[in-house]
Amino acid sequence: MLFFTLSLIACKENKQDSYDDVTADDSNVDKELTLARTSTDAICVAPAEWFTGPVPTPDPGFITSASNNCDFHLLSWQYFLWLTEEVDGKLRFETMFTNKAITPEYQNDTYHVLDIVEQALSKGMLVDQNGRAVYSSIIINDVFQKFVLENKLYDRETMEAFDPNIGFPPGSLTLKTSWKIVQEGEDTSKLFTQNSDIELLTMVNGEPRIDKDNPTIQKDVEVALVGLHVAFVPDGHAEFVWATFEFDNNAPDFPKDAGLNTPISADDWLFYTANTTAQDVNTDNAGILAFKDQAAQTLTPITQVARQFKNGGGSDTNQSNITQLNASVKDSLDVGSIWRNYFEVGAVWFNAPDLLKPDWNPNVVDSIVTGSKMLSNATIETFTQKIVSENQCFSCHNTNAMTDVPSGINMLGGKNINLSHVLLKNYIEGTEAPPSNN
Amino acid sequence: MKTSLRIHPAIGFARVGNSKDYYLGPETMAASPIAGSDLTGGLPIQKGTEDTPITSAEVRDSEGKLKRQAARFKIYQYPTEGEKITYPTPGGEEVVIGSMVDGKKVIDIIWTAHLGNKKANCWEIDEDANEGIALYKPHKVTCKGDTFEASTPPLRNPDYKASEPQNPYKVNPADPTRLKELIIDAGPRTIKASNGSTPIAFNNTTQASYYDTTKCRIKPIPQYPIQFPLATGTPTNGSDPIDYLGEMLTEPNGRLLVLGGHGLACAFNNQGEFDPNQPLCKDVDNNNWMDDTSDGPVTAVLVFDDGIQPIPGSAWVVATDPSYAPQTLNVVSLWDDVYNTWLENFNLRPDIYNGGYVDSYKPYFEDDVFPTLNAAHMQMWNTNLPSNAITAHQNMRGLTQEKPPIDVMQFIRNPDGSQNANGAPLMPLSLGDAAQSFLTLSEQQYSFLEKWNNGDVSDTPPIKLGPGEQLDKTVLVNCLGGRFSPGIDLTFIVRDVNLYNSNWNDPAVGPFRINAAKLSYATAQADQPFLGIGYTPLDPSLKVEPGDLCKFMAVPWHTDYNSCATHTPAPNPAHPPTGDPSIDHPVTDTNVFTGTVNTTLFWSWPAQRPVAVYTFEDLMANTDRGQLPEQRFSVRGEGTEAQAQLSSPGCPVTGYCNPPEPSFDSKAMNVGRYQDRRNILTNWMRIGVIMQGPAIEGYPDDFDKDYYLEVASLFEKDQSNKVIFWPNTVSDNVFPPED
Repeated sequence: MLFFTLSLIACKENKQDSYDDVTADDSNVDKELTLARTSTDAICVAPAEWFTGPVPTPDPGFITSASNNCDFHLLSWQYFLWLTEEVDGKLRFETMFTNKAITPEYQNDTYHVLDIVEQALSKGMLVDQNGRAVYSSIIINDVFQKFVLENKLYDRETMEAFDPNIGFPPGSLTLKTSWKIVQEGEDTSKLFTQNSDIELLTMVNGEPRIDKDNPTIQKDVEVALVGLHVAFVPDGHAEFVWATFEFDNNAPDFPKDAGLNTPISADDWLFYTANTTAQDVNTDNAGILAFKDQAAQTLTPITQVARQFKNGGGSDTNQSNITQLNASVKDSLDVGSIWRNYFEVGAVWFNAPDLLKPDWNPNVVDSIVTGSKMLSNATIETFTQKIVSENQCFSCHNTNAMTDVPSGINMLGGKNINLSHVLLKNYIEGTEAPPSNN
Repeated sequence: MKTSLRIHPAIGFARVGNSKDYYLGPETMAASPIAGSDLTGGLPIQKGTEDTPITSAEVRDSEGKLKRQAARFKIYQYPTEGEKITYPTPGGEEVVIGSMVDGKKVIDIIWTAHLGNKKANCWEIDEDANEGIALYKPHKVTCKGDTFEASTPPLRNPDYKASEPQNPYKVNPADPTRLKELIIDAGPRTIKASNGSTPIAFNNTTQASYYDTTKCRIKPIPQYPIQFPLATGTPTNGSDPIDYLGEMLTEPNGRLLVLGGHGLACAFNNQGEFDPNQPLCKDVDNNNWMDDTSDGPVTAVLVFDDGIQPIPGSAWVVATDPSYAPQTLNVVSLWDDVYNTWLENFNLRPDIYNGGYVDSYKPYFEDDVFPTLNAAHMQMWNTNLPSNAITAHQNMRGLTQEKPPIDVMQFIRNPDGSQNANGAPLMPLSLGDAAQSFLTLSEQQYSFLEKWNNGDVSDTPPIKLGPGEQLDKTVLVNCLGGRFSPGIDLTFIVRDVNLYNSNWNDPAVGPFRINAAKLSYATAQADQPFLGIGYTPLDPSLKVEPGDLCKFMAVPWHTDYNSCATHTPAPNPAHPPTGDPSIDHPVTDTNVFTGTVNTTLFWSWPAQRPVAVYTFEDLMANTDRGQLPEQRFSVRGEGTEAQAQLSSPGCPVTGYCNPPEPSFDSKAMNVGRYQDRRNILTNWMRIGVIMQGPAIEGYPDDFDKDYYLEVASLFEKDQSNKVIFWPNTVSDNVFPPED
C-alpha cells in the first residue's frame, strides 16, 4: 500500500470527474511536497520505493475514475522499469510471450527473435547511420494471452462472432521493442545491449525485406535497445494506455516553428546527422529502399530521424508531467543504471473510464483522447509522424472495422478487441508458427 | 392524345481534341457492368456505329492527334403521355428518318445548334475565396479600403480597354465593348439531316442560320454578328487564334452530332490584340486568355411529307475537356449533383424526397448503392492508393444487396456538414469545394447507403428508365460532380434551380432541361452583340444563353486540369478539428510541422484527372507477367519534374483589391503536373487515356480483364517523379522516376 500512498501524493493535482488535462492548483498540492519542491506547476515525480528494491509489480487498479494525467504517466514508467528489470538473467519482458503465443499450439513461445523491419502503415524501414535496418519484435503478457486463448480469438470465425463491446481485461500488456544492430567498436556504453537472433533481409518482390515464408535467422547478433512501446490496460481503460520510451540520444526534437529548411539540430544523434533539415528527416523509403550490400545487410538511403512532437504533444500539463517524471526517474535511478539513459516520450489514453466503443476512430471523434495526442516513437513510427491522420497510436489502434482483408476472408466488424494488431494480423494471415530456436 | 417529342440527352457533352477526327461520346455508364461483355461501360463509341466501343487504336488519328468526342443527340417520341409527366417516364421510342409519328412518316430532321464561349466576360470562380455559388449572394467586400456590397465574385478581365486598373467588382459586364470583344459567339447553324454528311462549321466564315418555324424553312442570317474576336494571329507557344468552336453533322438516320473545338487557348492584351506573351498566373481565372470550349442550345424540327413539327423543347450541348479516363466512375458524378438538385427542389421523385428523404423509400441496390461502391474501387486506376486501400475498396465492391457484414457508415463522411473537416478514414477521401475541405456524397447517395447499411433495400427492380431518360442520366454519370472548383464538365451552377426549366411536368419540356433564353434570331443586327450577360447564378430573371454554361469553367481549361492533381484541403481545417470548419488554416513554413494543420495531399478529381496510372507498356514489360507494374504520373513530359515553386513568369505581384499573400509551396505539392502552366497548353494532347484491358489492342488473353491501363500516351520519356503511394505530405521529398 505504501506505493499507492506515495504515488497519489506525488502527483496530486486537481481531481476531476474526468482526466481532462488541467492546470494544477497550488492549493491542492500537498504541503509537504510543496515544501520539498519549489515548482508551482503540478508535481509529477516517481515514488522513492521504485528505486529502493525490486520495482513493485504495476497494478491495473492504480487507475481509478479519480486518476489524473500524472497517474497514467506514473503507471507507464512503472511498467517500463518493471519490464526492464532483470529476471533470471533476462529482461523481464523477454520472459513473456511472443505475439505468436496466442494459439494453444504455440502458447509457450518465448523465442524473441527480432522479426520485424517494416514500420506499420508506411511500409518504410528505419535505416540507421550504418545502413542497417532497425529491428522490432512484439511481446504479450500472460493476461493478454489468457484472454485470447480462453476466448479462442485466434480462430477467425470466433473472432468474427466475438462481442464487439468486450475489450481486453485489465492487466493485459503488449509491447513492441526496437533494436539497433551494434557495429564493431561502436560506443554503446549508454545503451542496453544484448545478443539476439535476427531475421535477415533478402529481396522479396523486388525490395529488401524479410522473407516471412522462409526467414534466414542469424544468431547472437549484438543489438541495442532504442525504443519500447508499452501498451497496458488499467482498470476502466480497455483502450489501453499507449506509452512509449526511447533512448535519450536517438534523435532530436523538432525546434519550435521549424520550416522545411530548418536544421533540426547542430549535433549528431544516433539516428540523425548534424544539421539535417526538417524536410530531409523522417523520409519514408518505401519504394526507394535498396541494398547497398546485401551480404553485409546494409541498405540505402540512410534514414535521418527527428521527433516531430516533443512529449507526443498534448496539454501543457501533460508535457510538464512527462518532463518532470522523466527527470525524477533519472535522478532517482542508481547512477550505474543503464535505464537512466531512457525516457518516456509520452502516453495516450481516454479521458474517462469505459469510453471504448466499437467503430471508433480518433480522426472522427477526437474529444475522448487525452495525454500525448500526437505520440510516436521516433524509431518505430518514424515516417507517420507528419501525417495528421496517422500521427498517434489510436490512428492505427482503434476499433474500426477491418476492411482490407484478403480475398476469401470476411471483413471484420468494428470491435473493441480490434485495437490489437496481434489479433488483426492473426485474423488476416492465420497462425504464425514461431521459428525454431535451434 | 398527341405524341410528345423530346431531344435526348437533355445535356450532351462534346470534348475537344487536336484531331479533326472524332468518336462518339459514351452511351453506357462508366464502370457499369454490361451483360455479356468483358467490358464495363463508359467507353466512347466508334463513329458510324450504334454502340461499338472504341479500342486503344482509335484514341488518336493516323497522325497521332487526340480525337474529339462528338455529342450525339437523338429524338424520342412518347405517344401516350398526358398533360403532365412524372419521372421516370417509362418507354419512349427513338425517332429517326423513316419513323412514324402520329401516323406520319418522318422524311427529314433539321437541327439547329448555337455555340458560344463567354469565359472572358464571366466572373471569377475566385480561387482565394473558395465559396462557390455563395459568392452570388449579396456579401460585403472590402477593396482598397472601400467596403461595399457585391452580388458576384470579381469580374474577369476588369482592365480590358481601360486606361488604369479597375475595381473588378464594379466593371459592367454588359458593356457593349465587352460583350462584343470578350465573347466568342459563333451564332446558330442549321443542318438538314438529308444533307448532313457535310459538316457545318461554327466558324467565322460559315453563314449563321436558323429554322424559321413560321415560314417553315431554313433561314440564313447574313447580318448575324458572328464574333471571333481573336481570329487572327501567329500561333506561338500555345497561344493560337480562335476562329472555330466546332461543327455539326448528322448520321444517316438523322441523329445530330456536335463536335467541339481543337483545344486551343488564345492570349490577348487589354487592347484586344492577339498577344501570345500574356502570362498564365492562375489555375482557374486567367485574365487575357480565351479558349475554344463552348456550349449552347440544340433544337430540332421533324419534316413530314405534308409539313413539319418542331420539337418544342431544347437540349443543350457542352464542349469541354477531353475525357482521359472514360471508364472511371466518379464517386460523386455530375448526375448525383444534378439529381440531388432535382430531387430536393423540383418534386421529381416525391417517393424519394418530399421535404426530406422519405423513410419508406427503399433503395434498389444495383441502381442506388452499387455505383457508389464501384466508383470507390475504380479510383485505384487513376490514383496512387496504397495496397490496403485498394483491397478495402475491392471488398466493398464485392458487397451485395444483403445487409453488409460491417457498419459501412463508419467510413462515410456525413454530408450534413458535421464531418467536413475530418479526413481519413472518412470517405470519399478527395477534396471538396465551396468552403468544404473534403468531398461528401450527395444527400441521396448517403441516404441510400445508410438504408442499405441497415438492410433496408428493395428486392423489386424500379421502373426502368426509358432509353431517352437513360441517356440523360448516362451522360451526366460520366461527368465529374462533387468538387466544382470549378470542375471539368460543368460547375456549381448545376446546384442552382435557376439554371433549369422548372416546368418539367410539361411533356414539351421534361426534366433536367436548361432554362434556355428565347433567341430571336430575326432581330440580330450586324455589329451589335447578340448575346448579353445571360444566366447569372441565383438570379431567376436571367435565362441561359449560348456560352453561359462553360463560362464558369477555368480559362483556359488547360491550366486547371494541370493543377488539379493533388492539393492540401481548402479550407485547411485546424487539426484536430475545432470550431468552424470553414475557417482556413493554411500551411505555412512555421506551422508545417506543428501538427495543427493538415499537410497531407489529396486528389482533386481522381476519376477524371488521372494522377497516377499503370501503363499498358509497363505491364507488358513487367517480368512478373500479368502483375501490375509501378505507377507513373499521367502528366509526365518535359517540364513536369517537381519544383518547389510553380513558375509564373510575368505575373503581377499584386491584385487590385487584395495583394496576394505568399503561399507555402513545395516540390511534393507540385508532382504530376507541368511546373510552368504554359507547357500544358502545348502538351495536353500528349496525355494518355485509361482504358480497360480488353479494349486495348494486343491485350493478352490471360491478363486480368479488369485492369484499366493507360494507353496512347505520347510522353516518350518519363520526366516527372517517382509515384509514392498515399499518404503524401507537403514536406515529402520527391524522387526521380525509375526510368
